[in-house]
Amino acid sequence: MKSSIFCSAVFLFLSSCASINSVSLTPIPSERNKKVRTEKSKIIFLGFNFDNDFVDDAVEDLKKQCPNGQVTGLLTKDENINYFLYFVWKKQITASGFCVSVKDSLNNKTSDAKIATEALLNAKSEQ
Amino acid sequence: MKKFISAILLLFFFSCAQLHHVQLGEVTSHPDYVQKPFDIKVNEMGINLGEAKALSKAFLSAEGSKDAENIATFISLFQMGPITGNPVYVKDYAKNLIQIIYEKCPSGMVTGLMSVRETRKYPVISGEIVRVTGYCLIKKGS
Repeated sequence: MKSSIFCSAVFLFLSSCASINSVSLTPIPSERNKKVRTEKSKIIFLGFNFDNDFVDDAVEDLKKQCPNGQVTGLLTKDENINYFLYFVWKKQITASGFCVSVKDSLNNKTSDAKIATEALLNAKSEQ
Repeated sequence: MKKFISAILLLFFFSCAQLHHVQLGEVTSHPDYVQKPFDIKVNEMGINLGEAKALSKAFLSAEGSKDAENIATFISLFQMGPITGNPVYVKDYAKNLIQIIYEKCPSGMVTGLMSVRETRKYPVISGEIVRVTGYCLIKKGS
C-alpha cells in the first residue's frame, strides 16, 4: 500500500504537461545551411511572476549567432510546461531559423520599406 | 483593523505579470548599417468581472451585491470567444502600432522586431499590454 502511494506521488511529481500558446513563422529561405537557435525560459512557482524580461535577449542571441547576415525562416514557439499539479510551470520561448548572407536581403528590405512607407503615407492622407 | 487595511493595500499594489504571446521577426545585421533600438508599449485597462463580483459580495449589502452580480453576469454575456487577458473596453488601443513604429524609424528599415502580448494583473483591474521592440537600420554616415 505504502509503496503504491509512494509510486503515485513520484509519478505525479515527475509528470509534466506541455501546452503551446502560439507559433509563428517567417518566410523560409532557399539557402538553409546554417541553423540558428535560441531558447529562453523561466520557472514560475505558484504563479508568482513579476516580469517577462526573460524574452528580451532572444533577438540579441540570434544576432550573435548570425553576425553580418540575416536570420530568416524563423519559427517561434511559445509554450508552457506544467510540473507537479500546476504548482510549478515553465514558460519557454524557442526560436529557430537559418542564417543567410545579407547581400540580397538588404536590397529587398529597402524596396519593402519603400512600399510600406508609401502605404503608410497613403493611409495618413486618407485619415 | 490597521493590519487588515495594510493587507488590502498590499494586495492592491501587488501585481503579477502574465505572458500570453511572443513573436519574433527576421533579424538583419550589416556592417554598413547602424542598429538603433526602439521600444514601444501600448496598454489598456482590463477588468476582471469575476473578481469585481467577489469584491462586491464582500463590501456591499446583500441587495447591492446581488445587483452588482446581475450587472456583471449581464456584461459577461456579451464577452464571448477566445481572449488573452481580461476584457478591455477600447478595442482599437493597439491599432496605431504600425504608425508609431514608422515614427520611431522613418526610414522604414526595421529589423529584429519582437512583439510581446502580456498582462499586468492587479485585483479586479489589469494592464493589457502590447510591447514591440526592434531595431531601426540607419546607413553609416547618413
